[in-house]
Amino acid sequence: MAEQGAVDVTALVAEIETTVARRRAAGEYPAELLAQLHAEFSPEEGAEPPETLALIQSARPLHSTKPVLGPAIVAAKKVVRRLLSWYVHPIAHDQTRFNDAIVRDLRGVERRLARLETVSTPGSGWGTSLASARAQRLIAALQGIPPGPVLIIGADSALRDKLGALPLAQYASTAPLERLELAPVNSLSAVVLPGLLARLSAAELVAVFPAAARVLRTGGRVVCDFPDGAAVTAMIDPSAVDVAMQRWLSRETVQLLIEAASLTATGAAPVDATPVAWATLVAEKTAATA
Amino acid sequence: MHLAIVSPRYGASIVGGAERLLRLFAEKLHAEGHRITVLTTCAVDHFTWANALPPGPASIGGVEVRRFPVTIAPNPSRVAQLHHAIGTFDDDADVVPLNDEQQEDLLRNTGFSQGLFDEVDRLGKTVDAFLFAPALLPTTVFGARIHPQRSLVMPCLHDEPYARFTAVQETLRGAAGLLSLSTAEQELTRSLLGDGVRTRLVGAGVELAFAPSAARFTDVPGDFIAYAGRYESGKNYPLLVEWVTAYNTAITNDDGALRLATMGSGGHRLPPSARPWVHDLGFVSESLKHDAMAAAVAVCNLSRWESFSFVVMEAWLSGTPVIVHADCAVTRGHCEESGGGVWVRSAEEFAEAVARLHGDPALRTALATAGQAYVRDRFSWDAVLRRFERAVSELVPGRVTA
Repeated sequence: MAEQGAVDVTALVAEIETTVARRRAAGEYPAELLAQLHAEFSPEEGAEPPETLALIQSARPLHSTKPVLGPAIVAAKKVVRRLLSWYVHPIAHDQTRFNDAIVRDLRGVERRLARLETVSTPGSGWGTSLASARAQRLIAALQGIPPGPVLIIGADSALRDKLGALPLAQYASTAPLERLELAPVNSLSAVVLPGLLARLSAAELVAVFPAAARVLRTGGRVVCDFPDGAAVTAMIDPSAVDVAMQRWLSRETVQLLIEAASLTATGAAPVDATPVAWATLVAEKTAATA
Repeated sequence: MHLAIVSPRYGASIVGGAERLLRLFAEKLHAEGHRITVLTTCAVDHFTWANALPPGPASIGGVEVRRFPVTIAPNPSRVAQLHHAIGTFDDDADVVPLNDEQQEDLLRNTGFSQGLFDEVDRLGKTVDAFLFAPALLPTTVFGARIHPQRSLVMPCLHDEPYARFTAVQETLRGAAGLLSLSTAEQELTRSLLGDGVRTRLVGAGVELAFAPSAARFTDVPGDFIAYAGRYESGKNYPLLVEWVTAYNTAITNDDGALRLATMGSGGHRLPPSARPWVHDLGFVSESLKHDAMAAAVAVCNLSRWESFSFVVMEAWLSGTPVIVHADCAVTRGHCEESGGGVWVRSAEEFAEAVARLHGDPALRTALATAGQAYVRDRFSWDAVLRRFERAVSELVPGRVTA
């Protein structure tokens, strides 16, 4: 199928294999480091998970390796198993039920521990508890908006799951200004910008609220949140918290940007339950765009 | 033709290769003027099989859909135990580590719907043919036995223990015909079921109208390789993360670090050492996925259990070469036939392949171009639908009306 002049991938793979063999022979790969990595990625290798040990099987596949007597031996095993099954099977069943209960509780504890482990991780990606707190705040800020579509721009995956309950929600991960330009004037009930402001360039930050105001219906809202610079006591590079974050923002700055876009700020609130200070800000459109 | 398509789950938001493929077949055949009736369950999640959607008729994308509740609530602990027992399966062994009773127990715990089977029975008097997929779920295993002479199965087979289940093989042998997605899958089907099985190579259709933009994608800083799919061991996702971490921390003499941009969902938790190298984009739109693929150095799919792999096709149409696992006959077969990617078997080979592609944009372009030509030639919807219609008329003679 490969066209003339195309790469001979079989030769390319052979070349890669040869290079690896040569470098292995020369000891160029740090074998110890690779083994350590592999061990980290296979923490349960050799140890079976409790689920499999929980099942007490009283009937297993029967077979024999004896060439001639094999079928007779298997038949005899079947007879013995059948004769004892009235006694063995209920015991195995009860033990399995008990084991299942223990495993279920163990996994419950594990899930609770995982939630506790992630609560202190700020920013996007791993901060699922932070995402949950932010999503609750954003959803609460949308109470009472006019019925209609809601555009959510910039939600990371953890937050997007939480916001999934919003009716008529559309998502956009990138190109916020282009997405807002594509929407018709006076068409949206809300524009939600979760975590977006801290990731925009200065020029985009200035342009985003006028663009949102253009597409909102009268009574529609812009809801945004941001890492609150006013609450940061030490001078920390925001990219040290999240590589995509360009800056801390103060509420005053965001309010000024909102007012410059002829929107009315109706409320601001800190997001609870996080060691990094986030704030939510809500603005409403009071007059239709001509 | 009146075709009944039986899918374990159905809907635009359903994640799953076979389910997505059945939906596309339903919509494309409906657009061609065939009468399509989809029979499916009310489930959305393929782990819990909870009845999340209302039963009854619905219209999705213009296609008539009838939903039926899952009638056997799965026991998750039991399923986990049986899955783990299967995980100990040795490819070379003659004995599958579950007896027939346990195999059937597992099947009944993965989306069993009595109402759906009753409807298959009832529709048998009126439809020309049934299409079932995938082979390893009860909707197919039990459903395709009701009217086997008119049941076509798209088994989506991988070389995995489930393909050796007695009930699965009995259903496949008894069906009117099996529709394969790739040459490698067709060969696997014959090796598992014998040469006597009636099989046709149909393939899966791929949308060719791609307009990806690498420049538009700015979510991941620096160079990266891309992964799209479920974050699960079955897809070899942990292995990919391990190899990317090894590449960045232990192997590379490449100048720049390469991140892994992941798109999808799943419960796999990353070890701390992997976190600096993995950028999780979550569940993204199709256009964002294609933009990310276009911007990537390569798209990696190390899954060993694939029956087609849309991801590989999408990578090529996005203008990016692929890296696949040498032990996956299907994806490796795609690469060998097209010349659009390389296959690897170890962290070191993966690192050499990545470094080679990273340092040679012309090589990347040449590989992707070859892959793209392969997709356009073999897997346009037009070509796939013609092969499908021909297969139906050959395998279910005397019943096709169109």
